[in-house]
Amino acid sequence: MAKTILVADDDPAILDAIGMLLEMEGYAVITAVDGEAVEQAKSALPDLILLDIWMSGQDGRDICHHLKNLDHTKNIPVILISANRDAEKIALQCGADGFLAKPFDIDDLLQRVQEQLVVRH
Amino acid sequence: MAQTLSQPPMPKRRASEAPSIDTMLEEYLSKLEQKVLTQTMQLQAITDNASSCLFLIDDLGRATFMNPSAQRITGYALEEIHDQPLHRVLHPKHADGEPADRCWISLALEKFRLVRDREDVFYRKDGTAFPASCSVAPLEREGHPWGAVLEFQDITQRKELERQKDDFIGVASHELKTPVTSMKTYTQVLQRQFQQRGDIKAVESLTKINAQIERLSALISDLLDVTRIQTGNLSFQTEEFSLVTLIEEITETMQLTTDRHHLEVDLSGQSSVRADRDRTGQVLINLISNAIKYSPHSDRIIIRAQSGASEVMVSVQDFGIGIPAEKQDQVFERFSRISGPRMETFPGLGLGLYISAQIIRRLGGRIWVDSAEGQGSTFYFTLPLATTATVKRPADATGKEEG
Repeated sequence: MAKTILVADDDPAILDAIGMLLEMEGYAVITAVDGEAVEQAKSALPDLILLDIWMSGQDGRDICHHLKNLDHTKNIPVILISANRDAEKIALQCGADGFLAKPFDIDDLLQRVQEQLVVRH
Repeated sequence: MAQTLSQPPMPKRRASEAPSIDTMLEEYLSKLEQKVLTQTMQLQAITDNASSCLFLIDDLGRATFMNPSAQRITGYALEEIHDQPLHRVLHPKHADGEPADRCWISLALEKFRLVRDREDVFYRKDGTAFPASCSVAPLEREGHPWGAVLEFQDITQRKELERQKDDFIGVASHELKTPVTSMKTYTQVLQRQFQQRGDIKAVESLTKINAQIERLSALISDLLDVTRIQTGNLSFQTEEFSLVTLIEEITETMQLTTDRHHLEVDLSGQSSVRADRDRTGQVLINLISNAIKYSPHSDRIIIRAQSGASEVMVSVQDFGIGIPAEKQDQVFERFSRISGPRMETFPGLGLGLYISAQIIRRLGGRIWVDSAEGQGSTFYFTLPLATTATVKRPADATGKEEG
């Protein structure tokens, strides 16, 4: 069965582009804008979450921290994405499993995704 | 008429009516009084109406004069403060709350040093702080210091504008990166699809689009970095790494960006440094892309690294248009750009070398250039070897470049 990836970003074009890429690679994709991410993660229990750090509604750091403290979501790997290259430290502080700076190469994105899925399964 | 003009002026009194010494003295004193009065009035008009705060201080640093602007802006009257050093009144602590032992005022007095347009934080009578730009001129009479003139302006408004500008550039850069990210993702997805179908022409065009997106992305990053440097928020993550390996990696990547130039590498010695690897890479990319950009008619670029006892020196040499001697001091400044011999300009914001210089200084190194117009330029930088490296605090990193 295809692995499910939740992509959360407040920019619809980025959601669409990443979604298109991941579907092309054979993943099932769920997208979430802003704070929907938490609810989506809880109900869909994806295999991996790609989370934008500066989402306008709720900061990706808080979402990450929250998910990592819930029993049924804490084992889902989270990769934080940010336009701020210095945010890597912040990403690791809030319990994220990986970090990617915007704009990224899709090869890097796919590599991070594969790494995390291999680690867990 | 001509005759009248050539005659000497007629004396007002005849010799028989010569004035007494008393009258002459009286006249002289009256003139002197008039002169002193005029000069005092002029001086008072200037100090009364100057928008800057003006203080005169004695050799012990106590205020002996302050103008109305100084009273208005600080909230003090001269009688309230004349019995203690002005430094203690205006500058009891630093902006971070640390007690201030000395400031530009005491420095000027103690070291007899002229201070010009230095920014500091001063305090009003009501305890509130304000940013000020101050100048202090020490005074001497017959070789003896007797005080100083202090002049400063409240620069709250200027600081606020600078902050707004920096905020704006920060937000704008962030906003610009968002569409760049989706453009880049779409482009690479298409590239992958055409690759799978074997459409080489389409893949080539998309590769070019991707390279242009990279360029746009680098420009945005530069803007963001400049904002961070200005606000003191450029962050560093230090680690120990081999500079030689980094140079090899970067050279390999940069070789892909030029068909014309051959990037030669001459590396010797041990080069383990303790610095920010990405930022050091950023400096190398910058110097190499400048070398490529400013040597459109030559085909060689040489990258060297040599380690000494305590530091490693890296140089990037090109054989391009070079930099005129009078421009060499400015290349590390913001927005500085070099034109070609026929005044042709080269693309870019003129931020790369400024950012590079700031990075190298923060990493405890030096950066400079050696260049001859029409013959090419060699940019050098040094980094302390791992055993000696310490990253400077932003506040300390205000040294001047060499070169």
